[in-house]
Amino acid sequence: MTPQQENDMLLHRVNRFARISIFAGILIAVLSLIYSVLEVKSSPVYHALRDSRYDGVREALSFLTRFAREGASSGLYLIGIAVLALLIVRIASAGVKYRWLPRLDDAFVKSATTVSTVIVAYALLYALLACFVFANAASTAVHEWVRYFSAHTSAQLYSAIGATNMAIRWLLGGLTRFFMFVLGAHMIRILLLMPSGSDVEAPRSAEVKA
Amino acid sequence: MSQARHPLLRTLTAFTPASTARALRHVARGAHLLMLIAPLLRFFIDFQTYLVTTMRNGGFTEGQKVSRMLIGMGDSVFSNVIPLWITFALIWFFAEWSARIADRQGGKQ
Repeated sequence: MTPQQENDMLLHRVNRFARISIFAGILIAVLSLIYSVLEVKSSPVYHALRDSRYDGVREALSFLTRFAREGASSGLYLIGIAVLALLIVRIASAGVKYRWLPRLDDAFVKSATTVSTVIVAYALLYALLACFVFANAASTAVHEWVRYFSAHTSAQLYSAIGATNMAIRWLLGGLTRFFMFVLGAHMIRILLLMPSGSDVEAPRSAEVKA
Repeated sequence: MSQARHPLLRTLTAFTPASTARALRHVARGAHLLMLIAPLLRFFIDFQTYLVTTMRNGGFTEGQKVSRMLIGMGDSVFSNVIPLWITFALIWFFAEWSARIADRQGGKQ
């Protein structure tokens, strides 16, 4: 495979990955919403609110704060990085050699490639760990919900909500870190592969006049 | 060149390609240094916290010493040390890459 074909394949892969990341970002934001609702419902604040010790505005504010913290820090962040990656892919696949692109020496390229490799390795390891913990938490949640549906006590309900929260939390954390780190590493690779402007010839004045 | 009146403001807002490249190089150098130091410091802090917490809870019990410590330190490396290294590595890369762009804009001919 020629370097040009390798380059095109990388761009194609990152383009696809960035689009998936945008969907993942939306999914994470929606899951964060569910998580926020569950978190608020299982917290002591919610019970205080339900007992009318606070007004509705405080309840809404508490909910929005939680959503902003969980959702904005994960889903929207990921969407932002994915859009940035798409932009870089667009620039790189335009086939134009930009004059402003930096000249990169071998030592820098080698160090940056090592960094990107470490990032990808960590993302994969983290995803693997998150999968295991999520599977464990999800099975606990299912177990707790089954117990709630057979007993119908409020203690069982809070326990089931707590276990579901934990499962969603690991799913969110795993998905976000995986997509963000892999995208970051691929952005480094694309920036390293971009054709440098060093070999762009300036148009001669005679040619311009002609 | 910056049009600010005060000399300090003028210095802070004078974004010539050369000064931008210089500033970015400082950031890159700092991040490169922190790539080495910060993860070690973080590991030391986690290790110290782990030891203090264990001692407060009555110290190590027989047979738990090595395995518990390995789990605690593994968690520190995986959750704190590596992400810290990656953060500084990313700062280093983007600062160095941007500094080279500034070079091409006239920072270094």
